[in-house]
Amino acid sequence: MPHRVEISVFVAMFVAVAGLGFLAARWRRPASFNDLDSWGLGSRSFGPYVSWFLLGGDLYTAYTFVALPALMYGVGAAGFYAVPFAIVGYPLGFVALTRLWSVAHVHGLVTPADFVRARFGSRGLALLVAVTGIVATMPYIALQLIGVEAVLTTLGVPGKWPLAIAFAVLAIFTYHSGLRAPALIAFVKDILLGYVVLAVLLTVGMTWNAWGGVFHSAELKFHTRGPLLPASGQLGYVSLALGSALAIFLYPHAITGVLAARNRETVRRTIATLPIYTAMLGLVALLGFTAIAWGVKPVGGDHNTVLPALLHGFLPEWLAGFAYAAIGVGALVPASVMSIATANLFARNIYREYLRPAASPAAELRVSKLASLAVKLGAAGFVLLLNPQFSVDLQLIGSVVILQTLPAVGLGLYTSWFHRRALVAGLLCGLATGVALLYQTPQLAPTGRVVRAHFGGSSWSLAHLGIHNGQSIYIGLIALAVNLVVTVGLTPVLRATGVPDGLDITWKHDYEADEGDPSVRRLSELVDGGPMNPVVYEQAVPRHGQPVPPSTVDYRIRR
Amino acid sequence: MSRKRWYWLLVIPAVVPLLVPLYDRVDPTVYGFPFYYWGQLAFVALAMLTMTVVRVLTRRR
Repeated sequence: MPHRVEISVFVAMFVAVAGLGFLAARWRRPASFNDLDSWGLGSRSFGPYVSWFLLGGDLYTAYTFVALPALMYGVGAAGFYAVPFAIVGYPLGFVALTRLWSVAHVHGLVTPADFVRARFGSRGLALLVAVTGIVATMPYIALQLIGVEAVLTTLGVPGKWPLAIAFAVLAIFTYHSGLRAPALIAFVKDILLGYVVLAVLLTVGMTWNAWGGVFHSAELKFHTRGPLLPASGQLGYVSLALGSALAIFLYPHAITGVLAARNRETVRRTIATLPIYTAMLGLVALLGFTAIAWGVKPVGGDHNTVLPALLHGFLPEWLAGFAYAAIGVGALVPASVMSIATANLFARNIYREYLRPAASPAAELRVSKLASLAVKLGAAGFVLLLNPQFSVDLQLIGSVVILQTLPAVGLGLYTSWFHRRALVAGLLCGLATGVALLYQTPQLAPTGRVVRAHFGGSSWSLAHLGIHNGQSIYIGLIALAVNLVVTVGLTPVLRATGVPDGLDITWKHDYEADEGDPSVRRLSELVDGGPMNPVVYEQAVPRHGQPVPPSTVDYRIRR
Repeated sequence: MSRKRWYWLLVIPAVVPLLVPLYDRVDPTVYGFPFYYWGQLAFVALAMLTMTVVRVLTRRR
């Protein structure tokens, strides 16, 4: 059997990590493990190190590490957009997410839709944001499976059953341990990944004309001077980078990772240091060029196997096994967080809001855990039963779709000026525009021949407007512009016609509250309808538009 | 209040990586890397440095 060593290492690592996922339930276990906070947000207790690894594993998914080298291999310099994208997102997140953390902490919010509900007082808008989040995240989970599949194909493992087993393991430990599992596993994944990336880079650096040769062969392949963007590609590059940067922290799984942090300083420190991963990502992307230089041929013409095939030809077997394990484990972390995030959206914003408003925290947790299983079953179904291309298409749509929640979730952190109905209308118009333009976009072969007529990419050619300079623009941004115009345009109209605004239960100070702030209300209080402790009840801080009284509350009682 | 103005520093890492014409060039190359590639990777350091400076300058107390 070929690849024996690689497969052994891969399987051994996978089993070890799955075991770790189960043990994670005992890690820093709180006294009560029966509400959504403790399962779905790790009791909001993660410090800077855990948060860093968790968010790193969550945002830089296995699929990214597989797909980016494949993209560089296929299209050249344009594939590097992920680097500016994953830089620009952070300064924005640094300010916005700290505010989101605070307001979520004060009000016991778990999902982005929870925030929208509190800020704009609209169940309908919250439902729309929740559904958008679920729709955008589901195919993303499926993509993680495709990342693992690329490794298995390279290893020559036949059939779909190993993939099904991997996902079953993931589903069970997520159900059992909640967010603690991916947090703990993320450590292992990063140690593996860091080691492998370092080993590969050093290997390339020490061989065959080092990087100069690598870039030269890319030059030859793409017929450009120094593998650069064609002048006509700059607008597409920058709009894709900007659009993706605005979207990244709107994803429910990113928000889940942030809300699990212990305090504001943890969020700030984590985000300030996360770009280290971007550097690693950029270097891994360049391995796509290395594959060109080394004449690596993707297995069965599937570009996603470029990186695994390169590692196989390049590294000693045991190290390649570690690399594959890093990709496999790297798929488990984000898939787990994503399923938790979508499950929370369902439990919080659909089940408790619409199906059973009186649900207790324990019931809410039960529903969320079951939903996390359902979500993964759905994702597995996507990959195992349908054409994988379908997941890729849906993910393309997903990133355009999630960007449309920016006015409600992102801008909502700064202003409640928008009218709730205007936000609903803007969101719907943005979604419609985005999907329509994606439908209009064909996939072209380098020769200009149409490969597929619809959903062929996320760049909308300016030729549609009669500007024939070869430039294109990211569809998500166009849809967002439509969304914003509708939202901003309708808000004054709705106010003028006397359509009532929703009630904003958040409050200026909430956006700057930190750990231990007197205005913090625990989830259980909110759900049960009042604090347990009568002392606290009497001293409870009045909110809703009144100034903060000097803090006299002994908030520790509530912990 | 005055501490908040430091947040404006964050405009730098949020905007510079989007100025494509600035870095869409080959020279200077470093260790075989065209500027396009190492320049963008260098923005990572720029972003981390700026955010860390802002974080320290705006820390409470």
